[in-house]
Amino acid sequence: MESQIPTRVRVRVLSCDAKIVGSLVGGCRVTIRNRDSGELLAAGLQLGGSGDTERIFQPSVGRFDTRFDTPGTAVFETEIPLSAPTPVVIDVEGPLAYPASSQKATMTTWLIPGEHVLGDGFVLKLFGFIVEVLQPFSVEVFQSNAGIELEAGVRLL
Amino acid sequence: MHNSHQIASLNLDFAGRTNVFRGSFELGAVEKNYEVLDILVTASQQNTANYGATRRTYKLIP
Repeated sequence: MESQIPTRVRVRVLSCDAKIVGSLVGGCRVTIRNRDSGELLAAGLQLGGSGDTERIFQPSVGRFDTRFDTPGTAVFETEIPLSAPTPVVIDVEGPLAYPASSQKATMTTWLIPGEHVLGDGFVLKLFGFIVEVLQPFSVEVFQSNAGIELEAGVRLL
Repeated sequence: MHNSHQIASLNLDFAGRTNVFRGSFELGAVEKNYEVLDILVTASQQNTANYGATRRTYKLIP
């Protein structure tokens, strides 16, 4: 039987023009499957902080520099036992606390036994806004010719 | 939308609070109980592909 080598993998979900999708908005669901067989290799949540603002938005980032790998920044990290180079598909979905605003992203890649994917990890980007009607409240009832004041909250994922 | 007919289309202005936008419109005549007001709010951002939306419905009475 082929030996299985534990291989650490990090996945991060980034909001377009913003930071990491963290616990404040419910985090993200991450699944990693074997691309050929569909076998589930790992699943879990990305939870934690949204990252270091200055570092994420620094104007120039050098090669091999990390932008998101700071203490407390949300990440999904797992260890997958691999016996051979494995093609995988990584699916992410979030923010989980706002289902109406939830988005999905997918990437494919290879995992190599013992070649850990650390640092920023695989970074997948989600696009969109969390849009909420703040007023009127959902239980309000209106009569003919009412003037309606509408207030909405809009923020990045 | 009121009973599936558009009655207003407006841009919401900054409401003076972070991430909050505001506007107002007039509802027309309501003929009977349980007519429906359907509000769709969309958001977009210049120079990015960020778009968002939410929808909410309200009960109307004459």
